[in-house]
Amino acid sequence: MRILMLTWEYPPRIIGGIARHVEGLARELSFRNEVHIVTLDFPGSPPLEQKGSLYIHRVPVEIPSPTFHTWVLMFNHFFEKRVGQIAHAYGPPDVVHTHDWLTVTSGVATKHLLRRPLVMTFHSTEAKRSSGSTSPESNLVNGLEWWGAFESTRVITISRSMVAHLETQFQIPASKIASIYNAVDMEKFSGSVDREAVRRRWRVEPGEKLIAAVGRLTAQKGFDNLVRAFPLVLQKVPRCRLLIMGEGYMRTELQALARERGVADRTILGGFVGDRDLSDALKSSDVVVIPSRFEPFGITALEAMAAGAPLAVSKVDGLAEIVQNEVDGLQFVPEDIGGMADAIVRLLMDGPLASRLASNGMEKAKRYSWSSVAERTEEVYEAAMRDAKYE
Amino acid sequence: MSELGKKVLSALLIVGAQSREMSESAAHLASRLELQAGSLEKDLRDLQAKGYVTLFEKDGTLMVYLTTIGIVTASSTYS
Repeated sequence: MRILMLTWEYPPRIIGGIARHVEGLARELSFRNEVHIVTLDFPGSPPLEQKGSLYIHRVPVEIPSPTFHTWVLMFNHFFEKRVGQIAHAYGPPDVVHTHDWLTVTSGVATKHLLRRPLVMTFHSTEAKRSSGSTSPESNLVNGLEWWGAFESTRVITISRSMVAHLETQFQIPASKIASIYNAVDMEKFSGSVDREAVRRRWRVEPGEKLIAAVGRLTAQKGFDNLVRAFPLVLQKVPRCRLLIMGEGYMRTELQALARERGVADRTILGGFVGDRDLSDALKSSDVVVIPSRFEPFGITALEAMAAGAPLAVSKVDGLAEIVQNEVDGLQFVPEDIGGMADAIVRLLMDGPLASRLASNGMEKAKRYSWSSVAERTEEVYEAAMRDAKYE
Repeated sequence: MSELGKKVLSALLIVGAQSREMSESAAHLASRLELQAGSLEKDLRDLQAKGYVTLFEKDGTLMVYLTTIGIVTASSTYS
């Protein structure tokens, strides 16, 4: 079948989990389908890239906008233009797949213009991201999410907790929603690494422990709580360093917090890292912490498991579904700084425990493959093609 | 990051200033943010030092565009 995917991020434009999801899914789907991805352009990336039956169309936005939200609506119009060109050049798609609110309008337009079924994947919702804000901007995003869910013949989301949330938030019938977990590319995280060389690169001295975390530097990710927990960890394990990889608006705030708590000299804000550096860092860490305040899935947990790193995670949403406490990781209550510190200290001080959890985690990660995600997604496409209506 | 820093990155994202060819003048950017011309230079240099933007002179005018890290950062609150 010919599949059209609409997404505002695709590697190397990696903002959050959508890029990783679409990359893994589209690659697997392209082994037996023709897949076209329409996404935003990014410096250094070609406007059209072909990998076998996978076509990546990168679209520039040629008109400036007054606000972020009008910019989103504007880039959707440019997406629609590219969709028209694709339909003319390659033939119309059999199914249209949009990811999150950012590409809802081009998804809905494509559905009706080409009379093809629409599928929408919810990676998160505005209600979760904004903690229930009723600002005009949040109301717009909420509305777009509802519209996308309404217009879609089938809805996909990435954890059971998100299914329950969508049923409540948008009154979507359960029969319309499929829960398909994210996955991890084991190959990216397999192979050996020179741990000492990687740790030297991050200024970790011999004999020191390395605590790692990765994600967007936003309030959702809870890295401020991790910095607050770090002094408590140092009381028990004085020789360790904290490495937080990722970018975002909270960088300056985290730097200030680390200074205020007296841990700036042991806290490294590593910035944006590529796949290889991320894999190397995870494999070289003594513990990986995910302190999120909410996390619809938490792809980082699978990546840490695949890298063989012991995990300590917030007991929230999808994370609590993936990581089983005391089996393949340790859980702590979100916002419980002491509990987070205790979990980290246990993993740093109890080698056999850390090894057991990491080993179990690696075995679990092997079960989360993109080929399985692609198979289940194709089943959803087939159901959408069977049941589509264009009223 | 300061509120002004966030506004600068967001403004550059939504005008498409993500390459030298699509760069924005600092004066025009200040006008968009309803600031006095020339008042942004120190903040822009600070953002450049942190790797979020690239600055250059063109015909005596200070121009600015987002780096890849700046694009990711400007987008990060919306994903």
